[in-house]
Amino acid sequence: MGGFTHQIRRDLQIAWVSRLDIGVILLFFVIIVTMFPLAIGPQPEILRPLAVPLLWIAAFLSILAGFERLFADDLREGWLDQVALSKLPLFAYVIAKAIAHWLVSGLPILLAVPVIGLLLQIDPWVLPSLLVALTIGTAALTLLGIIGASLATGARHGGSLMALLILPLAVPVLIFGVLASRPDSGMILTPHLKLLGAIMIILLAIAPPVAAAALGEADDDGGA
Amino acid sequence: MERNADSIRKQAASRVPKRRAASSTPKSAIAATAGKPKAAKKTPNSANPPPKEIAAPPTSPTVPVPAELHLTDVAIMRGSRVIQQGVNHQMKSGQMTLLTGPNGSGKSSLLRAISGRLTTVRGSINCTAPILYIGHQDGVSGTLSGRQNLLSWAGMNEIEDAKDKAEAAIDKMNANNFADLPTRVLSRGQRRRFALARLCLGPANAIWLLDEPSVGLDIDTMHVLDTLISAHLGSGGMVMAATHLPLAPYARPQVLALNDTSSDDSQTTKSGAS
Repeated sequence: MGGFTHQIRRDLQIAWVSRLDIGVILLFFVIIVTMFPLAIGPQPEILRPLAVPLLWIAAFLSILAGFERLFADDLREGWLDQVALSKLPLFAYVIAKAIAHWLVSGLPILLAVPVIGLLLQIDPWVLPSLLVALTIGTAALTLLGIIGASLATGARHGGSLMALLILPLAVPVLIFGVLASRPDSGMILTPHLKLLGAIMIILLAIAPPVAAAALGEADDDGGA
Repeated sequence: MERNADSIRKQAASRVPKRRAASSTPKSAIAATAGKPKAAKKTPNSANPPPKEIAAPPTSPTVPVPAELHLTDVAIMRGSRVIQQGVNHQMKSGQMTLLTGPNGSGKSSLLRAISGRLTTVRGSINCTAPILYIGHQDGVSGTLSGRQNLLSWAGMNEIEDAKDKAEAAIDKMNANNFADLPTRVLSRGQRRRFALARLCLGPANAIWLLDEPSVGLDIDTMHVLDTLISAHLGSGGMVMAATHLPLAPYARPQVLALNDTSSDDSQTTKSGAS
């Protein structure tokens, strides 16, 4: 367990030194969202029903932007070799990477959502369910992202390849996420949210071993 | 020595004719090598003669910690090319091996194979000692300081008293002056010192796999490295280093010479790159 927390701490330290990158992700999110009212028009009756889907898509795209370098630096700098020889199993390393990545990319976006929501004339009573669903949704997307990032590591144009890999798989997350964000009855724990949670739990079981296996393979070709 | 040995090796590798995996069968290999008798070397396992490539006899006294490394008929591939095969070697506690050979002869790959980061296509690698690997890449994040890098490595390996040990290691490598700077602003040799500082933190019975450890180091630090190596051997560790430079000469290392696979000589001959 010691190695696990140290890996998270290491990633957070790196993120803190290059905290401008977090700002870039956040700014990207804000810009995508502000483009829509400019394109569609400021009428509340048009914006309000679109607000939740827009926030979801913007959140997805911004988080996706950070995945490309998730494992690339560790591979290039030889850290992955050290991890592979350490007491920390690769799949635990992958989970640590996912947690750290969610903390520096998913969490800031979640914090920005209430503010940006105002811009889209979002109903205040939607916010709690939207935030809960977005929390689970971004976590699920992060898990998908580590699969994509680990597979694309070492490939040329890894970023676009990764988006192609991940986005189709993210469709169920998006569908249930948006449905769960707008409960008709005002209650938070809807069947949609449960399904979203189920997707995340399945990904939690699948993603780390898949990514760990992919990282082991990636090294055979591109490591040294 | 700031050159990028790796890229040089890759260039060297791209110059030699492709030898596909399938052609490593005795028949086609003989055909490819114009009738040279290589069949004995190709037979898997057992029938191999004792490894002749070990030049120096074992020198060290017996030590309490039993640690051994056995390589038996190891073959390694990069891409679709067999770069080295029929490698046999044995080491015990307190022994050191220098891996020599021209660029592209598979020194780094062999070290990666022993560390488990490269799968072998044939043969067996049996290592009973914990592995400490320092490869071409330092495993040091350019964003973090050397001290942070060392501490996170110690944390990953659950080393006790990591703080004190890390400070002692930084002192030993004479790296105190720049231990708090992000390592990307440091020189190659300065960064290398933080990679080598790990050697002070690892377990005493570990096998050190060092890939060109002295590249970029100044004379003083090379001496420090030599001292570290002899101290490690004295306390029952093992060291295997790929190098083109003399390393810890008074430890009287064995030499495992890898031939260039682009030439058709047997493994023991020291033929240059063709």
